Amino acid sequence: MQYIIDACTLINLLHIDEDEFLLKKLQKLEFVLCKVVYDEINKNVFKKLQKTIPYPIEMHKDIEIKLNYLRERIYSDESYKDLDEALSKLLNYSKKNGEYQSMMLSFYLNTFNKTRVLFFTDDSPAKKEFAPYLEYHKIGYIEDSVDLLITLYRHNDGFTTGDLKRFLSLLYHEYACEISALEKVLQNFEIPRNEIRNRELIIMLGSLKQSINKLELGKVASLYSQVTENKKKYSPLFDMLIQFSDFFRSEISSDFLAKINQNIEFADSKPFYKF
Amino acid sequence: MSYEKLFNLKSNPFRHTPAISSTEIIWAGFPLIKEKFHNRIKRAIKVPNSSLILNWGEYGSGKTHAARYFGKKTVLAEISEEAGGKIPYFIFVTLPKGKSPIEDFYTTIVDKLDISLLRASFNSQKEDLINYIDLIGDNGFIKNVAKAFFNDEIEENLFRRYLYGSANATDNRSLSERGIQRVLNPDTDYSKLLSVIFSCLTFNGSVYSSVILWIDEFEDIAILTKVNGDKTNSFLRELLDNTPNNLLIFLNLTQSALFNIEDLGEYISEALKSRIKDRINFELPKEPEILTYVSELLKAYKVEDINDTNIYSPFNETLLQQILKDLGNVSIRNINEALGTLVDLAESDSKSPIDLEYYKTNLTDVIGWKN
Repeated sequence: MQYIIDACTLINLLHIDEDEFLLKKLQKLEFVLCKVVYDEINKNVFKKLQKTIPYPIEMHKDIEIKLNYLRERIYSDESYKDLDEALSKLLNYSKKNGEYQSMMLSFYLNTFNKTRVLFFTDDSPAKKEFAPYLEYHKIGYIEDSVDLLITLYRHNDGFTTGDLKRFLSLLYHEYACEISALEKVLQNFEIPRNEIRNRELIIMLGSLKQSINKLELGKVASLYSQVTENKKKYSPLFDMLIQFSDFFRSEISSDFLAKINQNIEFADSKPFYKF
Repeated sequence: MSYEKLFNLKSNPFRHTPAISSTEIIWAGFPLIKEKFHNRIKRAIKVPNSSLILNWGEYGSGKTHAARYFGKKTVLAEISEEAGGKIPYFIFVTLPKGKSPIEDFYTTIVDKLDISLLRASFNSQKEDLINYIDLIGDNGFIKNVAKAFFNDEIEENLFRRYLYGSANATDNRSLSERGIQRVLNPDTDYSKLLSVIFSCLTFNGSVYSSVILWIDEFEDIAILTKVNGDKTNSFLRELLDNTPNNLLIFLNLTQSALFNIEDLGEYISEALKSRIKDRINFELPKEPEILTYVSELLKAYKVEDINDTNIYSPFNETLLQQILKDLGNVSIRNINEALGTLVDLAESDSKSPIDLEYYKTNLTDVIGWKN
């Protein structure tokens, strides 16, 4: 089995890790990542939660040191990019982002190393988009940070049930903080006086408030896209929402949050097998 | 045309969410809720037992506004006079959500303690206060820190550095002479120290009758990690246990995407729950309540006290009833938003009074978000 890990999952792990506990466990896994994924981590690792709970400057050095562990895992043979033309057609996908590059690497390793691939990503749209192809072509499958934490727990003696619950709880906290901050900002948003006749802005604000209150994150993300596509029309909302661009980029789903909580419960009520 | 000329109003009464400037913070309508807070504070002034009160409601239901209103010195002074005691010491904080909530909680509270004012206030009874500190608690180190807190011989900035854990070697040497030989430990010392300080503030009731700690956004306990949620519970429980008298804690809780009142038991420990003395619910307002609220708010914003039979001017009762019917069950903030927009629109169109026809013409702008 070959593990490939995406930027959002690795950023999550870096953020919730304590004293390199997770990183050391992760080192035991046969995992690789694409160069572009590493670059995405480098670019975004400090941006996450900047709005809600920014990481203290003194912690930046620690994370930079941790990035060195990941640099060693960059898959250096770039022959997998030869599959670009064929795969962009097969997957009907035009973006050249980290998820797509990881897909190319998955197909490449499966084809030439004859190994099944397990790709970890928390990016819900990427999961929906690529999982059917991995399954249909018998390449492998996709899992997320929760599954990765359970895997690390199961394969490491020093990883206790308490540790698993703690890290899952930290993972929930990372997303919940952003959702809570976004909800508060939306609920407290007052239409500027010079925009009181901007009906579309008023309606958009109402829809965003209703969707976040029902925790319909997919709908919130889609409304956010509409706002970014019409910056002029929704200017005051755009200026406020742009602070959460990294949260929207992660495209987290409500199901993922529910999954984290469910697995915190399972850790006690339905323990995961450990030899 | 200005609000004054057009509507006889100082400004748009409905466009503050929530008001921050002390003079703008007024209470309109909702006499029952007002009375509940009033009585709770009055009881805290008269009866020594510490208590914990939950304030529950939706976004925009007025919880933060209540905190700002009852935190006003004039309001507290009025209640104190009625209760025959001194004014309470009021502290308003927002629940910290970071990675170290207890440190953040403590720091926020210390930020709000005006050390020089408190030292000056207790200066005339310093000896009695020191004797009192010796009587409460059994932790000699905490007692020494509390004594230093009220000791004006210790430079305030130096002492603040110590409280924040950023004292330098010279600071530490000078504090060591006062029996403070180590730094404060967040897990064991923060709640104890705050409790002793709170007890001192209400010592013999001659300066402050009680301490009111009002914590906003407490629903965010649901987004803390399990460990930090537990720590927050313990911190509050210790504060209440170690301050058995004269501490009134209000917790503002909002129904949010990640928190529902039914889930309260998951996030608040049994120990803390057993200390809750009352729950003040900010229900969605009914029509008669809203009409009273609107008339009282408009009255407070009137420039000239003209003898107008229409207490809803520049609106009228029929118009307000229609707006409320169209809005359905919504929070007071939603009502403010609708009426605020309507007033702004009318001001830009120089339309006064605001009638049903004008409202209908601008319906989408006023309540378009409902659809």
